[in-house]
Amino acid sequence: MFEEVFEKYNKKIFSLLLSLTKNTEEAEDLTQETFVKCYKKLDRFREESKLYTWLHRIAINCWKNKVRYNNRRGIYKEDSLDAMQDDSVEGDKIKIRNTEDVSAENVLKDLELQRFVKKCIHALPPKYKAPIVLYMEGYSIGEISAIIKRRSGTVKSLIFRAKLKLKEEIIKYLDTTGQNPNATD
Amino acid sequence: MKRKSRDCKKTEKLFEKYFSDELQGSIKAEIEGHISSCDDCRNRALAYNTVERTVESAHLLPQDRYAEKEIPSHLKAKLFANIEAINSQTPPFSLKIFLRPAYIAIATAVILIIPLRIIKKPNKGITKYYDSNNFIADAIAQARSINDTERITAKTSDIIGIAK
Repeated sequence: MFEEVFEKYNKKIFSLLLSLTKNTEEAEDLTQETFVKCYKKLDRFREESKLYTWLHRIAINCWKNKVRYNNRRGIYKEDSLDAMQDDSVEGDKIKIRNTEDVSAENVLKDLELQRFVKKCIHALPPKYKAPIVLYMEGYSIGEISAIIKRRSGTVKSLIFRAKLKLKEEIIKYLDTTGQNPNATD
Repeated sequence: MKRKSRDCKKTEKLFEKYFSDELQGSIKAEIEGHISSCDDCRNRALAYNTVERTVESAHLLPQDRYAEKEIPSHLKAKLFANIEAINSQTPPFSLKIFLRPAYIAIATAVILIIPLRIIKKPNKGITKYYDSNNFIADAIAQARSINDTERITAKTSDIIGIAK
């Protein structure tokens, strides 16, 4: 039973934890912790929620505990190189919307801003970070709602507020750097 | 950043429609004109577009991307070794076993019965208090009287026998 669960969900859990931590070592530790907890409690799982949702909830709670532990001890984990490389790969997949503005300079600035957005997401408080990362990982609002045990409306509101915080950060960044990728000078 | 003018507020409200190509004609031209002349709105538009694109594009990426994030083989080995270790351990003593319904029922019964016994303790047995010395003296006297009675009875029967 446990082996089936592990084979079915290990990639998703590892991928989610990697997106949340941006650190391979930490994601590995948390994946292990999640599956050990799952193994210990599997006989008590009463299918009140889906196994998928339950397992994701364990992973999110393990990550939140780790964040709390790190914050209490003032530990700051530097983003590992592989996670940052992964970001850049994902960033390249994102299409540039206004095709008439596609110049080498604009594409670079656009990618720089997207990377900045991802750094800001990483710095969000767990309350906002969990829903927006789950959303970016492709989970639907209904699934996120079941995983974090909040109503769909609350999940939408948390994602909206997270986006608002990110926009504010970008505006501050643009104000301080004074750059404007769309300037036609 | 300076305070938002009415045009800035109107432009900001229309960002969503503008970036999803829902605006046409004069209103689209008006928005573009304002964005090109107002630095703050240009930054806001850029922030809006970057965040929405980054988040929404990631959300809409195909689900097979998980194939790229294969779990490291050493992690799988470590995890299963850990589980083996858990299986081989004797379960530690846990107070949780006392939370079973049968134990709870017994504990409740004991807790309820003890105070009841103290409150309603039968006192018939202690109404007559004997001083230990008196009790022994009474017992000896009683024994003597029994002996005396037997002796008297024996004498009487002897006398009756002689008389006969």
